Amino acid sequence: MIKKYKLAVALLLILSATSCKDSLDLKPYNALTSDQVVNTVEGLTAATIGTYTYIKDSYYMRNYHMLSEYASDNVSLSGTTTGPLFYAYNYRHLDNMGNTEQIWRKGYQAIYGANVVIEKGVPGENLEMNQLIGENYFLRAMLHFDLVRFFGRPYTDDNGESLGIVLKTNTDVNELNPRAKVKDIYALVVSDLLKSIELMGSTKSNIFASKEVAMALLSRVYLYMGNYEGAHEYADKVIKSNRYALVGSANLASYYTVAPGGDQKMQETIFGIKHDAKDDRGDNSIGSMYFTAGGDNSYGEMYASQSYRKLLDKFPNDLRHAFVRPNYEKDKDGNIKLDGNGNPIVAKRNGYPIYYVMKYSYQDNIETLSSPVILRLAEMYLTRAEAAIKLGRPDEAFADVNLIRERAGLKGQELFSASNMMGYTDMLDVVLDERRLELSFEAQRKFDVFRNKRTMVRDYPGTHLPSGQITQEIPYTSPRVIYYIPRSELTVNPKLIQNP
Amino acid sequence: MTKNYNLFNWIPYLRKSLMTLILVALAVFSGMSQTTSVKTGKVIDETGLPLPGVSVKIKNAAGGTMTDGDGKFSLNADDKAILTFSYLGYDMQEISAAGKGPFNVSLKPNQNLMDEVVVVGYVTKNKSQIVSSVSTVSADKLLDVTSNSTSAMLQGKASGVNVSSVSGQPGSGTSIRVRGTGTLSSGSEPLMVVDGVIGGSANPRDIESVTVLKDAAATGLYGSRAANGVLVITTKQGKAGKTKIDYSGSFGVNNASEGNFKVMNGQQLRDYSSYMYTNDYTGKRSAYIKELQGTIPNPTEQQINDYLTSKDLATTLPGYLNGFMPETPLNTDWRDLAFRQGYTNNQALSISGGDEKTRFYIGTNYYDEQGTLVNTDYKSFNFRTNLEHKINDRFKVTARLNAGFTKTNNDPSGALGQSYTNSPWNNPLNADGSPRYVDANTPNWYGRDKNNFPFVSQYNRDNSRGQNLAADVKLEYKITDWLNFATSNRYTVTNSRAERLIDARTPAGKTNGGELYNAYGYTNSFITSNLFNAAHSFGKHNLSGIAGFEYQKNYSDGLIGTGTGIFPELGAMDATAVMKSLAGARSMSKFVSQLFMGDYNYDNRYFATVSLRNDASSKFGSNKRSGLFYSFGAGWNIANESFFKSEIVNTLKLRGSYGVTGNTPPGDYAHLDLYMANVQYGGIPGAFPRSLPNPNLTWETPTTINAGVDIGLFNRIDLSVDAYQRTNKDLILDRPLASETGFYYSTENIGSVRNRGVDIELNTKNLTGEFKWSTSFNIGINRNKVMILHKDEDIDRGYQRVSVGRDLNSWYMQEWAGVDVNNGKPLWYTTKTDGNGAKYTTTTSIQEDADLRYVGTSTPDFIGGLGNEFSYKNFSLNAFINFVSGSMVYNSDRELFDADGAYPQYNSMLLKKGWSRWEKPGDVATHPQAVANGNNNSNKPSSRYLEDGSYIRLRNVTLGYTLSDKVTEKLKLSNVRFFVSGDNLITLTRFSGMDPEVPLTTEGNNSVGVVGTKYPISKKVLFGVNVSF
Repeated sequence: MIKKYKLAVALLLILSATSCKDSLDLKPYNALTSDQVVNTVEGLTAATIGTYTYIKDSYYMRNYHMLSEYASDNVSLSGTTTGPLFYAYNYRHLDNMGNTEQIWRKGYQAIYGANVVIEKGVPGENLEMNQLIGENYFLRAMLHFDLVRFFGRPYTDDNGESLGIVLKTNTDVNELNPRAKVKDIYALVVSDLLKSIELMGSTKSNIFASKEVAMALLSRVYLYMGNYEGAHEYADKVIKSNRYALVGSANLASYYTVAPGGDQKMQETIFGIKHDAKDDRGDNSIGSMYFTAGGDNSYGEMYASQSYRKLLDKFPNDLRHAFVRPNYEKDKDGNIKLDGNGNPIVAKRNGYPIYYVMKYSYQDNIETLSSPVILRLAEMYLTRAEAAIKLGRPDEAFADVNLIRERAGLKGQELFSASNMMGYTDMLDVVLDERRLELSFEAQRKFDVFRNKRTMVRDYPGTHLPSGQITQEIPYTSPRVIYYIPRSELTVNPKLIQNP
Repeated sequence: MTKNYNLFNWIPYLRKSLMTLILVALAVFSGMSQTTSVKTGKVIDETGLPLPGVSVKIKNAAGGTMTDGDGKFSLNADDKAILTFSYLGYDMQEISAAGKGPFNVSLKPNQNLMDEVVVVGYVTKNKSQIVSSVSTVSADKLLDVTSNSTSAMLQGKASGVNVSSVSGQPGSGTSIRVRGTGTLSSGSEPLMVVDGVIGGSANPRDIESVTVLKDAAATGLYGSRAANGVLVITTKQGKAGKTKIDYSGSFGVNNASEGNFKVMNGQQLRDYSSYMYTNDYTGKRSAYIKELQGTIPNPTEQQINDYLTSKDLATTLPGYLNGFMPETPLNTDWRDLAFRQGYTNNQALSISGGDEKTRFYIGTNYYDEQGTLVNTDYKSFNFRTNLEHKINDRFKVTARLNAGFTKTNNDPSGALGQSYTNSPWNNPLNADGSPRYVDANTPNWYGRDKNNFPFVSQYNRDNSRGQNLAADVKLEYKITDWLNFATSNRYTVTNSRAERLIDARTPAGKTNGGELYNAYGYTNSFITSNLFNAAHSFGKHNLSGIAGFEYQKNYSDGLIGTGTGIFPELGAMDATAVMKSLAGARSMSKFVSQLFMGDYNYDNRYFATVSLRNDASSKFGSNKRSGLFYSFGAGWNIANESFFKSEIVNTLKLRGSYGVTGNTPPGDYAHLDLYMANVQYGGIPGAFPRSLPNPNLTWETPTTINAGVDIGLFNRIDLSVDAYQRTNKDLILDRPLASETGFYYSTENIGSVRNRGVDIELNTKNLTGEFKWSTSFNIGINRNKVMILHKDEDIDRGYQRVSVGRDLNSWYMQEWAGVDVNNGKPLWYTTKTDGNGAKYTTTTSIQEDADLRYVGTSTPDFIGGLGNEFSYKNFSLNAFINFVSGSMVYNSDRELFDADGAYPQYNSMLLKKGWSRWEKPGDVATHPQAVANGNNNSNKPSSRYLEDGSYIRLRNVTLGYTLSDKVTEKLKLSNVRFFVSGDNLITLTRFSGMDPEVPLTTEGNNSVGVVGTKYPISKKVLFGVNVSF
C-alpha cells in the first residue's frame, strides 16, 4: 500500500519535472527578434524609425550640437562645469571625454541600423521600398559626414589626405578596420547621397529624408569639400524645386517654436529632427544650456558672445535680435532697472552679462523642447552665394545675401551692393559674416571658419579664457580643430591611429 | 532553541523502537505480568527553574510524555523500568523508576558547543557533523544594532562577510559580499533562503538565527544561484508549554555623523575667494593695459578706465570683487538647516507557545525612524505567524505567513547636496522669516546653482510605499521510519508605488506648471520544493540524504507615468493637464531543478557529504540551458577518536571540501538578439538593434576549495580557521567590440577571477565566575586576482581598469605628484623618452600628458569584527566593533570641494590637518595655488583624491540591567530587562570624506570604491526595555 503510494508520488514528480523544461523558452514583452524585423517591409520600416531615433537620441543630437557650436566664436560660457561640454568649449580636449565617446558609439550604431536595411531591402520592388532604402542611404551618408568632421581634419586642408573615420558599409560585427582617409569618406558620402536622390521621392514630410533633403545635404558636402560647382548646382536645384519658402519676416521670431513635420507645404525647414513632448529632455536638452526661465529644468549658462552681438548690433532693427534675449535686472516689483543713461541693466551670472539664445526653446510652449533644424532654405541661398564668389562670380552673391537680409527686416542702405560695401573689401567676408549671422547656433560656424582656412578668434569674456587672459585664438592648422578618437575605442581596435 | 525534526537524531530511537517492539511482543506472548504504577516528578534546569517540554521516556520500551509548563510529568511505568529525560541542549539523564517518587531530576546544559544545531538550508545538522564552512549568528548577537535591516545587522558578525551600506537613509539597502567579489556583471549578492525555501524575507525580530554558507560543500545544493554564498535565515517557532509573550520596545535619538568633512564658513570662504579673484583681476587688468599701450603708449587714467569699461572689466579691484562676493559675508550654516535630530522607535510584540502537537509563533513589529536629513523618514509594520501542527504520527503541516508594509519619505528638495554646495553668504529667508524663492533669475544670490531647498521643501513630495506578502505551506509525510517526503511551497507578492511631485510654485515646477510622477511595480514569485528525506544506520555507519526537485517562476511588471500642469496641493494623475510620458516594463523567468545530497558518517568520527544539483533556467541561452553543479566534502572529528584523550582539547575537527556552483546572469533575456521596440519618431513606433544573440550564454561557474579546522580548548576557547580558494570561471562580460561595427559590446562567458583567503572565527569565554566576560572575534583576509579576460584585453571601468594579474578593483588613473614648489602648479607623473631612447619617469604640470597608472585597489586587505560581552550580577555590557583595513577609496567629492578654485562659486572644504596651500615660490605644500576657474585641471580625477579608507567603528555599545527574579516574580512577569544602547558612536579613520564605508555595488561600468556626497549614517542613542510574560 505504502509502496504504491510512493511510486505514484515519485512518478508524478518526475513527470512534472520533465514537462517543465520546454516552457523555459521565454520571449520578452517589449522587443522583437531580428528575424521578425529584417524579413518584412513593416519590420524594415520599424528599423528605419529606429535609426532616426538613434539620431534623435541626446547622445547623438546634443553632443553633435555641443561639439560643433560650443567650439565657435558665437558662444560664451559663464561658469566652469563638470560636464565634458566644457572641454569642447575651451579646446582643452581629453581622449576620454564622454561626449566624443557617446557620439562615436551612437553614430556607428545608427550606421549599423542603416546598413541592415540597405543590405536586406531590395530596391525596385515598389516605390515604398525604394523610398525606405533611399532614406537609409541618406542617413548613412549624413552620419559619416557628421563623424568625419569631428575626428578627421577639414577636407580643404589637404584635399582629404589625412585620416578620417572608419568607413562602414556592412553589418559584419567582427571586422576591425583602420581609419579611412577623409577623401574616401567624402567619396562614400557623395555616392550614397546621389543614390538616395535617385531612389527617393519628394513627398515625405520634412522630418524624414526625401529627394530635396539629400540634394540640400549634398550641396553642403560639396561646399565643405571645396567643390564649388557641385555646391552651387545642388543649392540651386533645391531653391528651384519650389518645395520650400523662406518663412516671412513677421513669423521669423517664432520660427523655431513651430515643430517641423505635418502636411503644411512651403516650409523653410528642409530637414529637422522631430521631438515630441515625450522627447523633452529637460535639463539635458540643447535649449537648457542656452536659456532658462528660472526653473530647475534648465541651466541658462551659455550665452551669445560679445563678438556675435557686436555683429548683430550693427543694425538694431535686425529681426534676428529675437534669438538673442538679454536678461534684464528687475527690481522687487518686477520693473526693469535703468542705469544713469536710461538704458536697461543686463543681469549677470558670475560676472558675465546674460544674453540667452532662443533657438532651442519653447516648441509647443514647452520650455526645453525643440526640434533641431539640420537643413533649411536660408542655408541654400548662402551656399549658392559663397559658391558663386569662389567660382569668380561675386556679383551673383549680392542677390542671395540681400534676400536673407530683407527677410531679417533690413532694407535700403542696409543691403549690400557693389557701391555699398559698408566697410568690407572682400565679398567673401560679407557672405561669411552673413552666414554667421543667419546660421548662428546651428552647428555650422566652427566648420565655416576652419574650412576657409581662417583663425577662430575668441577675444571676448567667457570661461574659455584662463585667468588673466583676454583672448583665445585657434588657427585652422591647430591639432585641436578636431577631437581625439575616444581612448576606449583605441583599446578595442588597435588598428586605429590617434590624432596628434 | 528549537526542537528539531531531523531524522538523523531519531536513528538511535528508531533502532530502539524496533527492539522495543520485539520486547513488548515477547512480553505479551510470554504473558508475564508487570507491576506498573503512575510515576510523577518534576524536572528543573541548572538554575532551579522548571523545564517544560522535556521528553520523559521509558528506556527500551514504548511510552513517554513531556513535562508541562511547571516542569511536572506523570507517566505509567514499571518499577524495573528506567526513565530517561532528554531535552535539546542538555545532557540526557536516566533514573530508576523504582519506588513511589517523586522523581525529580535536574538537567545540566550541554557543555559541548559542537552539539549546537545549525540550519544549513535544506537540512539541519549538528555542528559537529558539518564538513563545510559556515558561520552562524544567533538572534541575540544579531539584534544589538537598532535597524530594520537584517543585512545591516550582519556587518562584522561573520568572518569573510563584508556588509556595506549605500546610504544612511532609514530604510535604505545594503550590499553584502561573502569572501570577496567574484564577478563583474552578474549579481554579487548572496542568495537568501528563509525557512528552507529560496527567497522570502524576514523581519529581524522574527529571526531565530542566520547561517552564512560560504564554501561549495555548503552552498552546492543551491546550484546556479549560490556563487556568492547563501544566507540561511530561520524564523522563530513556538515551543510546547506555557505560552510566552515577549515585548521589546526602544526609543532613541539619531544624529548625522559628518566624518572628517567640513566646508568653509562665510569669512573663510571670502578670504579664499578674494585671494583668487584678486590675482585674476591683476592679471586681466595688466593684460588690457598692455593691449591699450599698443595704440596709446602712455594712456591716462581716464583712458585706461574707458578701455577697461569697453572690455567689460571693472575699473577697480573692489569693483571687480563686488561681482563675485559680498563686502561683509553672511554666515549661513546650510548643514544645520539640512539636518536635524531624528528619532527611532522600535516596538515588537511576539506570542508563542504550543503543545506536543501544535506550536505557533506570532510576531509583530512596528519600526519608525525619522531620518536626520530633513523630510526623510521610514515606517514599517511587519506581521508574521508560523504555525506547525502534527496531524497524526505520519503527517505534519506547517504554515507561515509574513506580511510587511513600508512607507518611506525621501527628501524632494535637494537638501543633501545643497547643504555642502550652497554658499554661506546667502540668506535663505525673507525679511518676514519665510523661506525665500530663489531661481536662476534671482539677483544677489551667490553660488553656481541658484537653489534654496527650504523653499522647495515646503511644496514638493517624494515618497514610496511597499507591501510584501509571503505565504508558505509545507506538508511532511512520514512514509516509513527512515523515509519521509516534504513539499514546501511559497507564494510571494510585492507591490510598490513611488510618487514624486514637483509643485508648480517651485522653480522647477514653474516651467511646465508642475509635474507629477507615479510608478507602480508588481512582482510575484512561486516556488515549490519537493524533497524525499531519508536516514538509516547500520552499526556504526550512518547514512542520510535528500533528493527531489524544485520549480520556480518569477514575474514582474510595472507602469510609470508622468503628467505636467497640475494645480498646487493636488496629487492625482487625473489633475494633470498634459500626459508627458508613459512607460512600463514586464518580465518573466523560470527555473527547474533537481537536487540530491548524501551524508555519511562512521561513528561520528569520519564524515563525508556529496551534493548534486541540476538547474535549468530561462535566462540561459538555448544551447546551455541546464547545468550540473556538484560538491564533495569530508571531515574527521579527531576529538571523538578513542586514541585522542586530552583534558585541554575538547574539540578537534578537520574539514575539506571542493565544489562547483553557479551564478546566473541578471537580465531575463540577455541571450537573445533583440530589437527593442520602445522608441518612436514622429509618432511612429520603431525598433532598434539592442544586442547580439548568444545562444551559448550561460551561468558563471565558481569552483571552490576549502580546508578548515575547528579547535576547542578548555571548553572555553572555540577557534575555526578556514582557508579557501574560489575561482569564478566563465564570467559574463560585455566583451567590448569596436563601436564601428554598430555594437560596442557582446555579452559572453569569458574571463575568470580568483579569490583566495583565510577566515578566522574565535569565540572565548574569558571569565566565567560571577563576573563573566566572553569575546567573539572574526577576521577575513581576501586576495583577489583577475585570471583570464578575453584575449587578455583590459576593460575600462570608470576610474578603474580590469586587467589580468591584478585585483578586480584596481584604480587606473593619473598619478598625483604633488605641487611644484616654484609656481604652485599641480604635478603628475609622466614617462618621457630621453635622447637615447630610454624611458624615465618625471613630473609634468600638463594634465593631458600625465600617464595613466595602476595606483592601488579598493579591495580591503582584511575586514572583521570584535565583540565583547561582560556581565556581573544583573548588569550586562556589550560592545561591538567592526573594522575594514587597506582599501583605497576615491573621494569624488573633492573634485568639487577641493578643486583649487575650479568651482569658485561652490563652497570649498576646509583643509584637513596636515594639508597646506601654496602661496608663494618656495612653499612646500600639499595643495596647489588657488586660482579662479581652476589651476591647470588640478581637480581632474587622479590619485590625489585616492585615500586610505581604513576605519574602525564602534558599531554598538549596550548596557543592560535585568531585574532580579524576586522582583519579576512579584510583578508576575518572567523576565524584565532595561537597556541603553548606542550605535555608530565612534568612527576612527583618516578618510577626509563623510564616511569611509563604500558602496560595494557597481552600476554598469562604474568603479567600486567611489564615495561622494552620501546620506550620512546616524549615531543613535536608544533606551529600551524587554519584558517577557
